[in-house]
Amino acid sequence: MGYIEELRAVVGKRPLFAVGAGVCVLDHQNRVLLQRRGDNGLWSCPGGGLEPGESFEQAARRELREEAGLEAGALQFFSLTSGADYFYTYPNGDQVYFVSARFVTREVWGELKADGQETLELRYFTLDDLPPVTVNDQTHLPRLRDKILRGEL
Amino acid sequence: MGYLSDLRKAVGSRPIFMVGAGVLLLDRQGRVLLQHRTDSDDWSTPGGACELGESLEQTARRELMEEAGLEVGELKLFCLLSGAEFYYRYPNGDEVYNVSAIFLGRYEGEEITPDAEETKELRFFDLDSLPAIMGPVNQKALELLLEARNRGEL
Repeated sequence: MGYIEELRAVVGKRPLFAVGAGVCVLDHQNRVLLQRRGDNGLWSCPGGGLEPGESFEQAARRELREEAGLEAGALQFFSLTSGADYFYTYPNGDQVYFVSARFVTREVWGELKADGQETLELRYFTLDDLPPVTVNDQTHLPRLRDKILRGEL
Repeated sequence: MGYLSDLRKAVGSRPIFMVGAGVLLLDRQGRVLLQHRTDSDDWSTPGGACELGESLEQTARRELMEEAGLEVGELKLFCLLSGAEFYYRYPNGDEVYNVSAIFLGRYEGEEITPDAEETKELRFFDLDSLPAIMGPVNQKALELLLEARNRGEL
């Protein structure tokens, strides 16, 4: 079991901070890699919760590997979200306040592969035409788009 | 009761994430605001734990008000601290992994008037002559601040 599951076993569904990190992988057309999540069916950047002792960047790399089968080169931090706007109730009733960081990279290697459980599907999307994304990525992805438009990536 | 103390009642002393925020407040001379802790004989940046529903920036502003009685204009995210080096075990045995957002702000006022309970003394310190600093989060934040200053980025 992971950190959050172990806490849930003790505290039930009450609101917890869920600290997480994810990676926006950009291809040469500035499309972003998204995964359809097994836990709620929404799309998001490959990412997930930090385990105790992990940094945001370490968690981001681990989740990219576990959820998409990819290794990444340099990761650039670009966005952090937290607060009342990032409250979420999972279909099973578990309540969280997300604290979520996003990194961006263009350097990845490996074979793109969904595990079929945490990740149902993996696809690249243009940032102007996104599918329904998680509450965190509703903020992170427009920030990424603005950063690209400003020529910062 | 706060988030952490409520959670502690349920989970005991096991390691949990402590989500928090701190402020590096610089005056016009580029000195940083530190507070002398009454609970330990060292110094820290204003900051503390995030409550449910607060953003990290809101936490930073609240702590700056509670601990130093100060309001600040723009706050810029300076660094994000996380990972094994920010593990801390309190004297009572409670274990935490700190996850901290450190913000940078500018103090434009002339003098400070400490009146908060937690704080014995507030003072702006030159970055080249800092006192003993409390804990890994504050130490790392000030180390990165000094590096940024040396690169001419402040």
